[in-house]
Amino acid sequence: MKNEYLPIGYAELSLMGLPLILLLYLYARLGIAVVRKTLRSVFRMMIQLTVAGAALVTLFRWNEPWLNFIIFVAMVTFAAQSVSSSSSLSLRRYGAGLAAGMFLSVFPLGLFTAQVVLHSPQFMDIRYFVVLSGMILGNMLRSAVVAHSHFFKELKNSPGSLEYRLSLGAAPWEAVKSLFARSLTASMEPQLAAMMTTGIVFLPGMMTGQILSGISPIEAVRYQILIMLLIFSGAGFGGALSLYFSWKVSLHAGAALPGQGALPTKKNFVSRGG
Amino acid sequence: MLLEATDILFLEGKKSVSLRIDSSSRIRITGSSGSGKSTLLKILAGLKQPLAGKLNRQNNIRQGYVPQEMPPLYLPSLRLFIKEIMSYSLHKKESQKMQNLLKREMEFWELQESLLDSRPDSLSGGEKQRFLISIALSMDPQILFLDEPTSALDASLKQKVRNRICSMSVPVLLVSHDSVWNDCALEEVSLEE
Repeated sequence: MKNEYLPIGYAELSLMGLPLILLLYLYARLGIAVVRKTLRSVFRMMIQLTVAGAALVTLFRWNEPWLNFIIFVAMVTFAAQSVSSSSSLSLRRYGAGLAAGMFLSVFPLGLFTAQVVLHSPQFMDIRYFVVLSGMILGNMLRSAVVAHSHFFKELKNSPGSLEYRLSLGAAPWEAVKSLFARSLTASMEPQLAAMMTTGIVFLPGMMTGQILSGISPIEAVRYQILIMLLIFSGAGFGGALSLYFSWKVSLHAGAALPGQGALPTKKNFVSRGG
Repeated sequence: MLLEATDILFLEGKKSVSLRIDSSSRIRITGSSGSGKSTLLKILAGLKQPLAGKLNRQNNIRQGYVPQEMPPLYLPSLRLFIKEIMSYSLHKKESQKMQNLLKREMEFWELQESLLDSRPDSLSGGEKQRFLISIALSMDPQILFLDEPTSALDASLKQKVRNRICSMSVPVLLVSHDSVWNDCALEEVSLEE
């Protein structure tokens, strides 16, 4: 198989508007009120990707490790902001913990994959380190949101579980450990399901993209396996670490849960059997 | 003195409560539904912070707490929950003793050992309540906090709980509407205005 791809010109790309127009026509006929929203989303997607493409061209040209590190930190910051807003947690209170959890899991993973596994030609190369880290972060977002939403929703709706365990002499971490494990399990379900069905039910976007760009399917599969393992580990470490830090923040704040009264802390829980 | 609560404000708009509990105290907290009895009990048990006031508790009290309902345990079986309790750093040294006590309590409360392999949410209301009482008593408590401990039990089991608790020589703080406690010589703290 030749390593070649079929280039897309703007005229060919605009043809992809035809199925979209057909779909929107159908929506309009059926009274499904998403036409404006769809048009706005499509427009935003095109603008954002065009800007990102232009920025990447420049950044690929510069490709300075310090600049790539700053880009990485900015990505982590946005990811932390996104998790806090999707999980209804105060960014001011939880943002730093979320960002620290994500940084500590994605940075070593991204660096390990880029430098040790792929033998990136440059330290913190934008093409490998930043792109792979972005991929891990993007997928970690979903897991972190599910883990945080599940954990804090349960703490808010069923404080009795925590109170009961504390009454039995559990230390704060011992009291939340089961809920923590359950929240992480829930957060990893989609990742596990994706791994179980990849290659049978669907072909992943990255692998399809590589095949379309002329890379041999076998090579594309190897990359895809690497990416899936990376994404799974990233989601697992990132979800666990960021949730742990968020829990620590809520514990030290004493009454840190949204809409919830005071939670027991080490300070006010004095009943320790002897 | 095991516990001293001074001007504890437990609910917004309610009058504050002061009480003192020593080794012979037996207190029944009464009040209408929504008057904050369970909240006050949790505060006294050190599980919630009061809105205002001061709570002094003697350090290292072993307490038994029976909540109004079995909370979500997030575990597939009661056996795993017992295992979790035994793994708490506080109980590690005495886990065998506690396990023996629990076994004895479960027998006393007519709970089969096979129940431990059940999903916690599959138990009947009465079984849950007896299980919670068994756990609380297996802590070898120096003080008991009981929140409606007989609400899901039949008349004979209610009497059994009442007889056991009233014959114990540990201080008791009880929230209950049940008349079975009427002759247990409990001091009453009313939360009615």
